[in-house]
Amino acid sequence: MNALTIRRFPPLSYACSEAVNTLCTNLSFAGENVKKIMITSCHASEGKSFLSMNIMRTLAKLGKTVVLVDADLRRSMISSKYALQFEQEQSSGLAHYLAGMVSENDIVYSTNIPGAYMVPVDRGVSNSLPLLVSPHFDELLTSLSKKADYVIVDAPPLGAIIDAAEIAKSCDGTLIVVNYDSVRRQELINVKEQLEQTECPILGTVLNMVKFDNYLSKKYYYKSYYSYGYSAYDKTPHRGKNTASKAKDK
Amino acid sequence: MATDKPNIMSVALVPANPVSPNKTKNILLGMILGLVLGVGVITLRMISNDTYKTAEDIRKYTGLVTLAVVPIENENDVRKNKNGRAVKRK
Repeated sequence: MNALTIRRFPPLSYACSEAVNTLCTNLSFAGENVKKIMITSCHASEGKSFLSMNIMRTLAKLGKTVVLVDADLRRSMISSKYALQFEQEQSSGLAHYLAGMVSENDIVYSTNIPGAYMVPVDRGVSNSLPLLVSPHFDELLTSLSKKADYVIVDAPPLGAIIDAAEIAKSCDGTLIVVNYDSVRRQELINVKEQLEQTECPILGTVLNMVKFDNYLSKKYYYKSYYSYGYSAYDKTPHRGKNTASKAKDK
Repeated sequence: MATDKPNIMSVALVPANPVSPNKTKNILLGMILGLVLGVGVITLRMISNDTYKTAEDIRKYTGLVTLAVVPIENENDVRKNKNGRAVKRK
């Protein structure tokens, strides 16, 4: 199997890793049949890739086999943001597979996180919809879900392009990432209605990038206070299990 | 036709303070106007801001459950909000 190294993947702060743990636990409650999970949002840069990557890391740490499929064929940021380094010079990604140029084994990469596998995009395409409509995509997800415990699909924002609706048809459930204080009421409702047409159940939303110190978010006060008390864990490593396992990823 | 020579009946008093502009009145008026305008703009912005801020908002308007609330990760993350202004997020 091909291999790649994730060179830039900083460990999360205490509060953030707790939130991702909560999310992963809630995902496991979604049921045994929910294995192919798509992550989308209303706008670009709401934290889809950030969440996908961290869900992958957290689930892998829990001993699950996870495959992250980067399906943002037009504007994928994972490769550059997380500084992926491919072992081979000539690497191929999802776009190559969907175009029928390579086989499944050529695009699934093992990572430096045990239990975590990735299908990168490698080279973006401007017109991705015809590729996603092809039966290859569904075949790939089905085949991966048989081998892995979870298949996380990082989809493009549904508010901007329709790709995610096509991807959802091949998935068991979707997660909508909602950025704090930036998504208007109707925008999320539109995305929800669009997803409902695909008959892929919406598992729920994730409220991302919440500012706890905002006066409007008094509801979160207790939570922020709680995490503040434990922030000592962030600054002094090698104290407690949590940081020890985080340090491994560095 | 002969008339009386004009004579002074009373000497006009020169006020010590200018009649207009009335400083106290204008300052007071300005303060009230400024307050009303400020409160008005803030209220208008708050009313027109219908973005999602809590899990409760999401449940109320879309009926979807929120599986997790993730705080902002990078403490010195300078991001641009929807108005295009750079805001330093803590």
